[in-house]
Amino acid sequence: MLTILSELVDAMIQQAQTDHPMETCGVIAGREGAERPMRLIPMRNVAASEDMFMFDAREQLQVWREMEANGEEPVVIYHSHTHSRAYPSKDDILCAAEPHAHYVIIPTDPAYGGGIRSFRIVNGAVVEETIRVVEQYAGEKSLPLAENRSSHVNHHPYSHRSASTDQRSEAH
Amino acid sequence: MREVIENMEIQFPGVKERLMADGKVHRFLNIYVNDDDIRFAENLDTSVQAGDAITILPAVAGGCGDRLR
Ligand SMILES: [Zn+2]
Repeated sequence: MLTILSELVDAMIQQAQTDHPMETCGVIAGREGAERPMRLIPMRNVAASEDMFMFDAREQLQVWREMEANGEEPVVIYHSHTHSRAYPSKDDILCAAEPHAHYVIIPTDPAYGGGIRSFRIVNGAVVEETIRVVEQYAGEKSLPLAENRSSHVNHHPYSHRSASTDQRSEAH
Repeated sequence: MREVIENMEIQFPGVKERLMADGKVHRFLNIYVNDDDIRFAENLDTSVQAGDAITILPAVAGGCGDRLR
């Protein structure tokens, strides 16, 4: 499951819509091992294409060094699909090299509908995961015993998507 | 750079095939000497001096199709 702040989701969608019909891309860094996306870094798409994205190698080096210096890791790696469904393509699977990252896809073509989706991609196997959108992460602010955490869930339409392990039926 | 990889292979057998094939760096791998991607220098012939920093990162790419193969 990916737990993520609603402001980060909004920022990814905004960026994807601004760049449409070009694919957009970026990374969200978080403290190593904490599984909490915190710092959104939009990346330049050097492919500048409607069906491809590629981080600029030099910009990537700077950002990865920054993360290392901060004790962060890439928690989310995101990109948009501007005229296809939000499911990892062959290229996405081929290039997915971070087994611990959440690969988020933002669809921008209303014809394909739906909201953002998140996947783990390990050794060519794709597993979809649930996205839980929250206003703040548990424990960030003192909560009255926090016995009812569900009250902090933003009931966004895409926050209750069920996980799927089917990798064949959706491949295109 | 080629020599560095050969030396790494002696210390960490198997690392070479993770980095290159047929004498070339894997396509979706970025190797940097200090701040420079060796792709834009002399690739595996890029010279490395004592004290230089070498960074290896998987390229981040993809899209909605299968053009990269
Ligand atoms: Zn894609």
